[in-house]
Amino acid sequence: MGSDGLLGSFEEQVLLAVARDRGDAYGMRVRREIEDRTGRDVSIGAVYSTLDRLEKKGLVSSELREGSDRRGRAQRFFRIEPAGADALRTSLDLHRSMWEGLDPDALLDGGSGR
Amino acid sequence: MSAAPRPPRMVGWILDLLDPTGEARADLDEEYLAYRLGEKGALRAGAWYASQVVRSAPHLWRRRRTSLSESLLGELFVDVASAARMVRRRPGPALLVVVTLAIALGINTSVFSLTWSVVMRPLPFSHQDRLVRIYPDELFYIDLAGAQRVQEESPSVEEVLPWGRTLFTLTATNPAEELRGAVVRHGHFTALGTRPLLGRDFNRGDALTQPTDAVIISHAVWTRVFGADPSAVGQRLEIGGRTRTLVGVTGPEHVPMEPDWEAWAPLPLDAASAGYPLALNALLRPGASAASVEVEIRRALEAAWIEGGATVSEEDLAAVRVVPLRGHLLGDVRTPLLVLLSAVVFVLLLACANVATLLLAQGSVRRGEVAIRASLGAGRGRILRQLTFEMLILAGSAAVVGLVFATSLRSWASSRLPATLPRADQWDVGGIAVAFTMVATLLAVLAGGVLPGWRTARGGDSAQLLRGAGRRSAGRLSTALVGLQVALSVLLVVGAGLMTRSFVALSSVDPGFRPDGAVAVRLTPPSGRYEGESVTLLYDEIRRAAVSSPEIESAGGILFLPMTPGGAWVSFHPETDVAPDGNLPSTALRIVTPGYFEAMGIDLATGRYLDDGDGADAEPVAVINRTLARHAFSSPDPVGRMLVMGGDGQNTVRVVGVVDDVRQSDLRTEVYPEVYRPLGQQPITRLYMVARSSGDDDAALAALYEAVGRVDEDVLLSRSGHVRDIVRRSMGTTRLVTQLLGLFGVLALTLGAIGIYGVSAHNVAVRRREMGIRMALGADSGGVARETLLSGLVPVAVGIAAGLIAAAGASGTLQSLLYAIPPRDTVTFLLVPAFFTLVAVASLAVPMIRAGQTDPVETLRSD
Repeated sequence: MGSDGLLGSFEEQVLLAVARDRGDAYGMRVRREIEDRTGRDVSIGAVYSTLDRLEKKGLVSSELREGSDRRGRAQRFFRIEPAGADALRTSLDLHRSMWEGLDPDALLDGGSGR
Repeated sequence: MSAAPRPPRMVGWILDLLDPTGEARADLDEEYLAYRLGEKGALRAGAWYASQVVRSAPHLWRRRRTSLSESLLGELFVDVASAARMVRRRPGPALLVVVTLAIALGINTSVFSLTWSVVMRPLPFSHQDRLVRIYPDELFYIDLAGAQRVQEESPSVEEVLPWGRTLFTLTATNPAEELRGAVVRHGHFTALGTRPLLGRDFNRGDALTQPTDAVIISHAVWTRVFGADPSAVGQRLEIGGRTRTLVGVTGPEHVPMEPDWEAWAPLPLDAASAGYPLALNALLRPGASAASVEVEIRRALEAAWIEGGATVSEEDLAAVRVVPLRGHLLGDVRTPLLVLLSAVVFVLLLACANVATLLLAQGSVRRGEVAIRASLGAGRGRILRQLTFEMLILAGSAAVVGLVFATSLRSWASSRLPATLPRADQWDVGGIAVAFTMVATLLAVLAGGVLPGWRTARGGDSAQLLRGAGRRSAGRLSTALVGLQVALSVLLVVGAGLMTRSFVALSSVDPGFRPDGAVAVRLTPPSGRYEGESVTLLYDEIRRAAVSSPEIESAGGILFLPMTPGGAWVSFHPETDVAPDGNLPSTALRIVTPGYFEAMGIDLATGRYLDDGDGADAEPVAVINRTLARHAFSSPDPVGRMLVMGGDGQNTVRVVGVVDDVRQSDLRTEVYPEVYRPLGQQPITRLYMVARSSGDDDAALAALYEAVGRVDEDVLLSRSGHVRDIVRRSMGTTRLVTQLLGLFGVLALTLGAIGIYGVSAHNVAVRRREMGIRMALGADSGGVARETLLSGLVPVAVGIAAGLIAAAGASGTLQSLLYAIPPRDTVTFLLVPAFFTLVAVASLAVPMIRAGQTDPVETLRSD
C-alpha cells in the first residue's frame, strides 16, 4: 500500500494468497501459491516482510501455532482481516474502473483498445 | 545420495542466523522436501534452496534488526530476571562459582595492576626511547670534563647526563631523615623530557653558585615533610648542617634514575668539582640505537680516561655497555612480575575450568528444566542466552567482589614490596585494572559459562537428551576439564615448590654475622664540630656510653653496614710482590671502630680483632676477611703479613686478624674480598653504630639512642632498626615472589582438589542406577569402589603428566629468581606429582565410598 492507502501489486498478491488459504496460510503456502499462479519464484524473505507490513497495517492477523513436525521451530498462520478484505475490494474496484471501456486484446494489436 | 535427502545444512545454518525463530528454515525445508525434491531432483532443489536463502537474506536481516530493537530490551529484562531467579534458587553452587571467580579475578587484577604500574606503563619521559644508561658506574671515575668529552666525541649522543650519588640529611624533620639522591647536571629534568611539578629545573646559575644552594625534592618527600604545601618552594631547608633553597618538586609520577632517589642538587661547574666520581646517562639523537652507540662511547671514554692519566685495558673497555634506561630501571623486576602475572593467569584459567566443570554438572541436573523450556517454545539461542545471563550475573558479582579483594590485596602487599621496585608507590587499582578485570570476566564467562551452557541448551534440541543420551559426551568434557585443572595446578605448584625450596636455601645461607639481637642506627655528627681525631674520640665516647647501659652487651661502628647500599673500593696487592703493573684486583674497604665485630657477631678465624690500641699513632693495621686472605696471600693465616692498598702504594698495612666472610650485598651475592681498617687510622664522620642487645632488642635500641644523646645531643640519628630486618629486606623480591607463588600454589591445589572431587562425585551420582544394577547382578561393592577410584584417577594422571611437561618447559623462566636450586629440580618434580596423587585420592575418597555403599534395591526403587 502506498501513501495513498492503495495496495502495491506484490502486497495484493500476498493478500490474495492469504485470502485463498482461508486461515491456513503460512509463509511457505503463500510463497508457493504466488509461484503457482504467477510463475514467479519469489523469495520467502520478501513474503515475510510483506506479511509483516500487512499485519502492521491491520490487513491480516497472525497466530503462532505449535508445529508438530517442525522441531520446535515457529510457524505463523495468517488470516485476512476485514480491513484486508476492504483493501482487496478497493483494489479490484480501482482496476475495474481503470479498465472500463478498454479491451486488453485490442491494446495488444496496437489499436486504441476501444 | 543414498541417505534420506536433507535440505543443505550449511545454508540452513545461515538461515538460522538470519531468522532465529526458525520460521524461514522450517518453511523452506518443508517446501524443499514436499515439493522441490520430487519435482526437480536434489541438485536443482538444492540450488533453489540456496538462491532462496541468498535472496531472502536482506529481508530477513532487516526484519531481524527491527524485531531485535523492539523486543531486545523486553527479552533482556525477562532473561535477566529469570537468570537471577535461577541463581537465587540454587545459592550453593552459585556462591561457589562467585567465590572461585572472585578470588581468581582479584589476584589477577592486583598482579596485573602492579605489573602495569611498574613494568608496562611508559616511563614519564617524553624521550624515554632515546635515554640510555652507560655501565658500569663504579668502574670509570670520570669527571665533568670527561663527561663533556664523551658528548663531543660521540656523534650519536645528543646530551650526556652525568650524575653522582649523594646523601641529604634533612634536619627539618625529627628525627632527621636521610634522603638518598644525586647531584645532577643543570637541565637534568629538561633533558629527560620531564618537568618539575612545582618550581623549576636546575639552571646554569645554580651550578655556578659556590657552594651549590639549590635542591629539588621528590613528590613523596614534599608530601611527607611539607604536607604538600605549595609555598614550600622557595623556602630554605636545613640539609646536612647548612641551608639550601628548595627550587622544585618533581611530579608524583617521576621515575628517578635510581629507584631510591628522593632529592637532587646541581652538579657544580667550578674547578672544585673536577674528580667528582660520576656515572653517565645519555640522551641519544633520534634514530641512534643503544647497541650502535656502544662502540662510539667506548672510544670516547677511552680518550677521556687516557686524558685523565688512567691506563685502559681491553677488559675495561669491554665492560662498558650502553643499555636503554628503561631496561636498566625495570630489567630486574620484569621477570618476577611477569612470572607472577602468568601464574595468576593460570589461576584464572584454572578457576574457569573449575566453574565450567561445576556448571556442566549443574547442566545435567538442569537438563529436565531446559527440556521443558524448549518444549514451551524457547529456541536454543534463547536458552543459551539465559544461561549466559546467569553466568554474567555470577561473574559480574565475582568481578565486583574481586575488585574489592584486589584493593585490599594491594594495601596488604604494598607495605611488603621490596624497596628496589621502581614506581611501586604508583601501584593503583584504577581504570586500567578495572578494564582488565572486565575483559578477564568476559573471558571467564565465555570459557566457564558459555561452553557448558551450550551443552545444556542442546538439551532443548531433542527429547532424547531427557532420557540421558549425551551424558557421556558431557562426561568426557568434564573429564577433560579435570585433566586441564590438574595440569594447571601441577604447573603452579611446581613453580611454588621451586621458589619455596630456593627461599629455604637462601634463608639458610650463613650471612657471616648474627642478625638476631643486633640493632643499628646511622649517626651524623653536626658538621664542622668533629674532624680527624675528635671523630674517633666522639665514637669512642658513644661506644662506652652504650655498653655502660645494661641493655647493651657490646657496640661498635662501621662505615657501610652489610646489606645496605654504598661501599668503597681500593685496589690491593701483598707487599711481597714485585712492583705491580697493569690492573690490580680491588677489595671492599670498610672502616670500623673497636667492638664492631663483637656487636655484629662476626667470628674471628685467626689473629685478633681491632682494638683501642689501633690508633692514629700506632702501626697501620687491618683485619681482612677469609676471601681476601685467600686472594691476596693464598693462605688462611696471613697474620703479620703486609698488604698494600691503593695503586700508589702509599697505604701499607699489617694484617692482624682474619674474620669470617660476611655477605655484603645480600644473601645471594657471592662474598667479595674485604678489608677492615680502624677508624682511628682512617677517620670519617658518619657511621652506623651497631649494638648487641643483652635480651630485649627494642630496649637496646632505645638505650643506644639515649647513649648517643648523652654524648652529644646534636648528633643526628637516622635509619635505625633491627639488623635482622635489614637481612629480611635484602631478600625482598625472593620473599615476595615466593609468598605469592606459594599462595597461588595453595589456591591451585584447592581448586584442583575441588574439581577432582566434584566431577567424580557427580559421576557417581549419575551412574548410581547402573551401579545398582551391576551390584544387583552380583558385582561386589569393593569392585565398584575401585572402579570409581580408577576412573577418577585417569584424568588426574594425564593432568599430572601434562603439568610436569609444561613445568619442565616453563621453569627456565624462573632461573634468574632461583638460588641454589636448578629449574628442573628433581626433588620438586618428584614431590609435586606424589603429593598431587595423594590429594587426588583424598578428593576421590568420599565419592568412592559412596559408590561402594550403593544399595541396589534402594537405587532401583527410586528410579
